[in-house]
Amino acid sequence: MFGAEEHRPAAEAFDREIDDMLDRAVKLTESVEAGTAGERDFIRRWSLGRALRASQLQKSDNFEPDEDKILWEALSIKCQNGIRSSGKHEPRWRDLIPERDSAPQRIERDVFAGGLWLQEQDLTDASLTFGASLTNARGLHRRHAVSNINLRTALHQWLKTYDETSRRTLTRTKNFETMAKALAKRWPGRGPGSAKQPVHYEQDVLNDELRRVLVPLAAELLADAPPQ
Amino acid sequence: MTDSGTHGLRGPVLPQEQLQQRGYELDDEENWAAFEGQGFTKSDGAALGSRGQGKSAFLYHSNPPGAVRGRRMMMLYDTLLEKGEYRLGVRNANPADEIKSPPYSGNEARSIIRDRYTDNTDLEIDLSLDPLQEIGTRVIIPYLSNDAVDAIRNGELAAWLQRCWWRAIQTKDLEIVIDDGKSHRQEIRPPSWWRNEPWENTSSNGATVRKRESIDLGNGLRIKRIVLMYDENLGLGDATGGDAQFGGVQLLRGRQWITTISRELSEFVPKERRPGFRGFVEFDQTLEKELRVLEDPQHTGFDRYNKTVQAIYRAVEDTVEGFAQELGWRRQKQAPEPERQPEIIQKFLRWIAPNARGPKSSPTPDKWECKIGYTLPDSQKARVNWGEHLGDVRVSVVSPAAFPMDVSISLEGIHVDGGEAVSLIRETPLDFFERDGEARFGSLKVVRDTAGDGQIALPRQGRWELTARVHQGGWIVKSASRSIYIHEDPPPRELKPLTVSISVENRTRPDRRGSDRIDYGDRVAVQINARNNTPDDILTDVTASIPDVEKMISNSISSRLKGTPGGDTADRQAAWVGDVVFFRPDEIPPDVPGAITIPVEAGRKRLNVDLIADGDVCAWAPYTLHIAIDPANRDWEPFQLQGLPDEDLPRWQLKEVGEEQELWYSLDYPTLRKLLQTDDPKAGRDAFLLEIYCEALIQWALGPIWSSNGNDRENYDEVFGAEPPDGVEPEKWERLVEVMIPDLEAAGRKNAQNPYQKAALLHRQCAGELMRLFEQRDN
Repeated sequence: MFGAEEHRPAAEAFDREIDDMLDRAVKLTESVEAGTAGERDFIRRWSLGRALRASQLQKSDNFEPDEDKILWEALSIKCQNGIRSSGKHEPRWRDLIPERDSAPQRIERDVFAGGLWLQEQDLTDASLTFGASLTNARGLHRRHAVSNINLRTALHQWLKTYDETSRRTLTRTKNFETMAKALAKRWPGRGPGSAKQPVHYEQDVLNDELRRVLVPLAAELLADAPPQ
Repeated sequence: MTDSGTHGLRGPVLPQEQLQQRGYELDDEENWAAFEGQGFTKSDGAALGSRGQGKSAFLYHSNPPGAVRGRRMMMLYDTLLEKGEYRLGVRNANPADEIKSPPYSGNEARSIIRDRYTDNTDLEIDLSLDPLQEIGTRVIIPYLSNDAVDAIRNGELAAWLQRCWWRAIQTKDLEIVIDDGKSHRQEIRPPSWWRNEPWENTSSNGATVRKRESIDLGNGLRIKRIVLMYDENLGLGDATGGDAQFGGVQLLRGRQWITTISRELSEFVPKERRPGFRGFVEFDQTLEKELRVLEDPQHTGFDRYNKTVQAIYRAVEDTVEGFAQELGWRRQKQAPEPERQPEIIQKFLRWIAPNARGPKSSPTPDKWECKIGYTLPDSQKARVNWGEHLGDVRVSVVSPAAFPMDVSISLEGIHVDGGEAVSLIRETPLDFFERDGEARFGSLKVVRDTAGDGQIALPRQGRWELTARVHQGGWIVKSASRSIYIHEDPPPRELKPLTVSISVENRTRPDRRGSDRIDYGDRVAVQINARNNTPDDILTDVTASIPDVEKMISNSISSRLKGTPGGDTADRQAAWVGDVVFFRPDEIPPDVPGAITIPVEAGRKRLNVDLIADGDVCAWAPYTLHIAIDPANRDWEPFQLQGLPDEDLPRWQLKEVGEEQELWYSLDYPTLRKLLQTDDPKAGRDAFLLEIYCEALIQWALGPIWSSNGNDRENYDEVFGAEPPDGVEPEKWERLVEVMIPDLEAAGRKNAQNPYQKAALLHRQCAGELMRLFEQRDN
């Protein structure tokens, strides 16, 4: 009764949209200079997210609202295989996602959903907030209650009050993880204290509350840091 | 019923004031006071009958006329003492327990016995009896019930007396004669198969007897003897009345039959041999004393979870196994091993799991509400001494419909430890204004004995549960309970200061539960309820929200929660009430006066509630909402069942296996093995698995609370946080969730006194109640 042919035009159009999105992501990545390999990964992830948001692929009629997983799978396969809708090979797409030994069916939640989340801040702000570290970004992203943009904005504004050296110390992986834990303890995702989360605060009140939690902790972390 | 060769109901007749002064403790020879007392403490608690329950049984076989409501009961009892003193007492229970105080005595007593007794309702009871001539006691039950008369005439009473007392009769400690005063006189004798004492190991004429004596159970406890007999010529029809209770091994304590071990022996005694199989067990004195404590008040069994009792059962099973082997009886086959996911467990989880239930097809039942109110002498604790008052006693009722007809309330007291029940206020009609009704009884004095006007009798020290019942058209439609301590301080309770729960009702679609699908635009009533378990009022801030949704349902709105006297049952108080309407984030908010409008994406959402006092979160609760989606029709399974062939495994154990939990149990567990050998092994296996699953589920629910000092209630909410499961009366579910489970939660905390013993007992009770509710769900 149903055949694939009647869906071919829509599928091919969608395929082209995906190509455009991935090309945009590559372009964004190449437009920014990066120092370390870690910073390059950070920029790629941000770029992928920004390109994805601009493409509106998620809002396509081809998907139900809760079918993001299918889109991520499709994007992942595209990046792994690097085959355009025209049939030509595009090797640059491969760099957009991490190397994996496993088959493309493994859902790259961190990559596409994480990229979307990361790009909610401009690249400069996101880089400052996380010290341009994907590890730091993941550490906050997985703690859902404190992953809200309001809290990242508050974190960004607070870190800006420190000089670059101090910021580098605070955004070292181990230190950032300590601060993320402290924030998650203050705003747990479930259980006691979970009814009022960062999303429910006015920004200035949230800024103050975040400082109350992190300033004493930052003082300890900075005091313990080895001299540069 | 007349005894002889005893010392009569000796001791003084103690007035109430004196009993109160003595704290209701009696000496060994104060038999009159003990006989009349309801649970008075007598120092020789080991003697059968010394605790008072047996005497009440006489009352239940009387049925005199003249009851206004319910059934009237009464008994008379006379006694002749050593120095010639004669007394005649009268006891009524209709339904309040009343004793004539002081009793009749001397010639007046004798005169009544010879002629008739007339009570204050002009009920005349023609006695025409001879006064007692020998020292002893007689209990007279007037207007014997038809059931009791039938039992005498058809031999059922004789059979029961034989079953209970044959050994005491055999040792000449007791003689029982049934005499109807006309042509029927029967002396109770031991059954034929036990008449040849002393018993020796013999085999003749198709009958084999084996005895085993002085069996050491350790700790200085011994079974005096186990005697087994098989007679191929005997059948269960030979026991008078066809009594199957003889078909097994009787446990005798104080030479009285308490219980029979039979099902546990089915592995060893083939079905076709059971009619001819008999046995009994007697204990030495030390073990008898120990068993007295472990015996239930009705003398029908022992605590099966006690190690000593288990050791007794094992000794009997071992002895029967040896007997069976000697007689060449083949062991019964085992049923196949159980499946991993038995259907009974799936049914149970679908019944109790909130999100696995499908949408209801019938409307939500009408809701009655009922509340007991009174003021206490000391507002800090729920204690009343005899002679003190409960002030402004009232029962308030809310009906689902305005001006309901034929509604009445009654108030009853149940002693929590003794199980004794007394009626405090008989059914009283209730008038309503709209949906509200209230009955006020003013200030009531709490007394120990007979209650007069303006009084209620709570005759025993300790914790009582006062239960109000709402009746309509002959049915009980709602009940409410409240704890009170009589003449003793309530123990310290290790409950959290505040607890919170959430109820959600879909007003637009009343046929749906709160946990069912909520469509955009539905008006949903949200009520955040709290209980304050401290004596003082607490001012809290109520915060409620859905994660990722910027607009909160309640943002730190203040609520004052009234305190609860220590030991009392905390009232559920509404900390926050409001209507909410959800709408799509990309749409214009709907205009719904009086409701909070919340933009939210469709999906399964968690409503989180915190109660904050003095800056700290004192209580919290989640509630799962299904916004514009149907609840997932998945089977909820907190842990999988795993039977393992391992004799060393305990009865059950929750184990972490990777990220999952599994409920492990031993396929070789003796009880399970025996159940598999019954006539219906599947039913036996199902019963065993359901029981361990209920126990494990309760532990799964409460374990995180115990280990997080009360903070982690997520598992608890999954099991007990939703509305009552289908087919369960709300008040029964409330009793489990709001009384029994919190008691267990408190008992299991690290700083609870004797945590293991009390928690273990409460755990079994809660699991038993859960099973009962599940099994009764279709009735």
